[in-house]
Amino acid sequence: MTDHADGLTGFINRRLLVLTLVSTILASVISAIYTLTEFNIALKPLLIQKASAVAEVVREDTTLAVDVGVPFHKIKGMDTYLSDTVAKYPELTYLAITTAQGDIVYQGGTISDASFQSTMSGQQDLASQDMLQANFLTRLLQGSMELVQLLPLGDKSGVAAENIWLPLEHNGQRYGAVHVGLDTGFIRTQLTDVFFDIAIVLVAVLLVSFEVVMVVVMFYVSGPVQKSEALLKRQASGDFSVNQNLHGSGSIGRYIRSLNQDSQQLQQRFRNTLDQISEGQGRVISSPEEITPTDKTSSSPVRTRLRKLAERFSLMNVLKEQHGSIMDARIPLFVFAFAEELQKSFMPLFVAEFYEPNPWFSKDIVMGLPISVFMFVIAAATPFAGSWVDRWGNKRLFFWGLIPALAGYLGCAFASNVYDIIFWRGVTALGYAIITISCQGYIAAIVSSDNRAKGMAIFVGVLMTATMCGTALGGIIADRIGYQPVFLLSAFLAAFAGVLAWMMLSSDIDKDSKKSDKKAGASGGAMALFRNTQFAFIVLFCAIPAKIILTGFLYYMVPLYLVSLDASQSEIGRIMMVYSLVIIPLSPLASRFADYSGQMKQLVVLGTILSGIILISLYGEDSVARMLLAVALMGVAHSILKAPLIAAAMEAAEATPEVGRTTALGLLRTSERIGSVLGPVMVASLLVVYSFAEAMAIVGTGIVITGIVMGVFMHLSAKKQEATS
Amino acid sequence: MRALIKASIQLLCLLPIVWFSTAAAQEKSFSEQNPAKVFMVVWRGCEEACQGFKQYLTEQNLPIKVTVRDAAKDKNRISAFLQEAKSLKPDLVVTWGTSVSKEMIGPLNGNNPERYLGNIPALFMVVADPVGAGIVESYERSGREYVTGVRNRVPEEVQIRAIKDYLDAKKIGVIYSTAELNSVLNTQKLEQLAPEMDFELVKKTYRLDDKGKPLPGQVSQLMRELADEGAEVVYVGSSSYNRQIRDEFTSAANDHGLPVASAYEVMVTKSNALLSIANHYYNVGRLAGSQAKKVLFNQQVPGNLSIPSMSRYSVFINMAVARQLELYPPIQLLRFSELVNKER
Repeated sequence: MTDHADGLTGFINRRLLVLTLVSTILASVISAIYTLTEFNIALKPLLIQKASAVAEVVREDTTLAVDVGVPFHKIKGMDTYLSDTVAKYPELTYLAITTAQGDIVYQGGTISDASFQSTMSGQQDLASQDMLQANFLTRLLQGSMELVQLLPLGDKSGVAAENIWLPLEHNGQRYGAVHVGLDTGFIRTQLTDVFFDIAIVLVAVLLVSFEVVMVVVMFYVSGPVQKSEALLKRQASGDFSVNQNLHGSGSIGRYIRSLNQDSQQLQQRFRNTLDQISEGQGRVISSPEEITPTDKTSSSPVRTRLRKLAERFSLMNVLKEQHGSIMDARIPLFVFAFAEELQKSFMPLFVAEFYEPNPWFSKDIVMGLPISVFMFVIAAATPFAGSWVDRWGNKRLFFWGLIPALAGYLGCAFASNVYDIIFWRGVTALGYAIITISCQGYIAAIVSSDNRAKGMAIFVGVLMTATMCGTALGGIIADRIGYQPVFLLSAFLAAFAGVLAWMMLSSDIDKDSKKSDKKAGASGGAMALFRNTQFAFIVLFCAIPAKIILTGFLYYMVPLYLVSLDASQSEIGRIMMVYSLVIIPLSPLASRFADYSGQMKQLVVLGTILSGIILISLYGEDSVARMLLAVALMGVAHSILKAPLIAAAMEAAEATPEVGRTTALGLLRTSERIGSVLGPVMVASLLVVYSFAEAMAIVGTGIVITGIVMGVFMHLSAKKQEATS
Repeated sequence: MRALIKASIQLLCLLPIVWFSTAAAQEKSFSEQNPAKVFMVVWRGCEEACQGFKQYLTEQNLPIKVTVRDAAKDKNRISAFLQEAKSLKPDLVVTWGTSVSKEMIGPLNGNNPERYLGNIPALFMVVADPVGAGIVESYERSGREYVTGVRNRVPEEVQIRAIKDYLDAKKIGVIYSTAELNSVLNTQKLEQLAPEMDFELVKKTYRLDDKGKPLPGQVSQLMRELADEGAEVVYVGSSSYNRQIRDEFTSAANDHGLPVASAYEVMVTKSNALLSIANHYYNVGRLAGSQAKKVLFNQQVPGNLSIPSMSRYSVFINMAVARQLELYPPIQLLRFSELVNKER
């Protein structure tokens, strides 16, 4: 494809993407602000109502005491009563009973003003009540103004309290008043929480819409435009080949079809001409060479000219264009992976809820088991999944994978003990392995070997985006509806992914991949690959340690560690999300850099050593902020590592040409899964003896060492190569 | 897997038991056509406890038919009811009050069980001290296979706690008759509580005539002595005599600036005591209803049930006395109290 063609589709692509993204961002930001302001506007009257209700109870009690003859100034235990009541409601700062003049008689909580004289002379503040009647725009504007002050960005001017008071009367004579202080800081903390949740939903929505827009634009706009452009250019340069497989729809599709028809008509006329000169011999001619039969030595000049004409304008050429595109697998994979990731932020905690002491495993180990079993099943299934792709084709395999995946989610949703959870997670893992391998195979079959790193980056990117959205949203959802209903949601989403796959995946690609991979997918490939030292080293010293960190540190330890620091489920989800949030933008950059520099192995070593150092740095004080930083940095280290690792392994695998692409990838994945299985088990057994920080330092040190070993090995083998050449 | 096997084995073991117990339940199940027959003997008409009992069972929508017999405060009528019960053979006999219960259920380890209900399940209520009265062995276990009941007495700890919450008293006085065993036992209980609940007990006893009855006209003198010895409140835990002469007793105390706290709410509601923690008889009746449900519908053996007590009590405060003595209740107590003489 020439630069010019790239220019036109690129032009449309860019415009469309920018336009959709801008409008999505705008829409989500406005809806987020609107939600927050509504929340704020609705929250305040509710709080005022509640505070008034508390004041009303105090007033009733005081009135009762005074009415039955207890002197107003001699009510015993009033201060304790008020303090106890204030302590019960976090949104209240104080409760006080004053005389009609505003002098305090009894009080509980902290009161900033000594007297309530001024407050009682003025009108009660009912601004927020008015707001509810205001129109949408005013509410939005006013609300966002208030919001700026309330959000953590705004200034924090001590404990601000809003006073609400009720008069105390006896026989129509006012003798005092009950005052309640409403803590405005309380509203702020509530809003901050909601703000973070909304922000995450917003980021997730952006990512999802980005995924969808990409695919939709490719499917319906830029793809067809590109096709029509190519067709036009072909015809302009005098190539009138006919495309047999045209399925375009819409106006651009019709346009392409009519262009194609022109070529078809032209070819038809040419054939008619041919028929005329062949004088009804009735021979079917399918290529220009057959126009001048080789068996006849004396070919007529007409035939020679016709043949030249046919060759010049490709008048007998029929194209069979491939339909597959990376985009096809993108959305089904995304939805499925999203469904799977919902449980990530709470799996160990979920297991802990069902844990009952048993003589075989300690609690730490049991909490890690579902992750390990999940990874183990994937590791065990992946090699088979690789050959299943070759046997059944990617599209059909996707549906086979859905069966165990769905069963597993439903099993977890109705699990009643730890063993149920472990078993059903294993079943889900089988489905997960089959589906990811089928999508990976699909993508691998489409991309050419020179932009393999980029193709794999797309695969990794989709998984990462799904992980990010799934982890964070899963945490938020679990916080609200509980752990087990989340699995029901997963089952529903997985089924939806199946529908999408049925609609979008092309089965054409299977035939091609079947042909090309059949001879390569021979058994014994694994052994051949492991004799390839380059490949073995990459797997042993980089791929496996990276996965140990991912499952042992991120999936297993982070939730437990954060819960020990009193983090909420939503917070845990948010922090775990940061890992993917870093990887998503960084990973394509790193892979492009890797493609550009060609220094795949060096980048892999760098990432490995870096990740080890981050773990070691966790040794010391325990804090949520430090954890957040470590998770973010781990994202950086792994994005340096991720795409180059696959590319480096593939590059190394090319030295063993008898092993096929899918099999090599499958082997890499399997080895990685071994690391994933080891991760939680290793960290859990360390935790039985050591603290969180110590366990991390130990794992980190080990990983730094493997990184160094890998670096030294590469240096040596590079020298050897130099010497031989 | 192992757990799965374990679970299925457990299930297999459980199955016959489940089947058996449902079969057993069917054997003794009641229906609209065949309701459980309850025979209730009361002392002074179907008052609050009796009504609470019936109301509870009606709310539970259980097929029960309750027959009420009223002794109308006449001990001689009870034996006829006993004979009626023995011939009717109801599913449960409910007895109200100490007198009825003693006559119908009979004493623990009595040498003549045939004279009483025998193997007809019995449930007593409104018996102040069923252990003291010799009806049951302890509150944990009745000690009799066919007997259970409910408690209505508020524990002394609760009474003392309320007195201390209200009056912050360090010295608590008692006046009792040594001829009343329950008063002597009650005083012993208070002495036992004194060190753990940090108060001092000041005891006064009535001079008795030769029949063991307290001589009249000595209450005022004893109150003065209590006041002189620094008592801050007079407590009546268990004394029929003090309950009987309640007006004289409370007025004498108040005259000497002493508030009266009592386990008998009638001393607050119908006389001039300041404070009482008690159970509403209505709620006691409801508690008895739930106990009856356990026996009739949950196939529980009466003798295996503990004798339950109410977990929530009612606080009675006489505001006229509070105002007179200028002893105002703390707001926390006042909020949950049933106030008597509210109007000034």
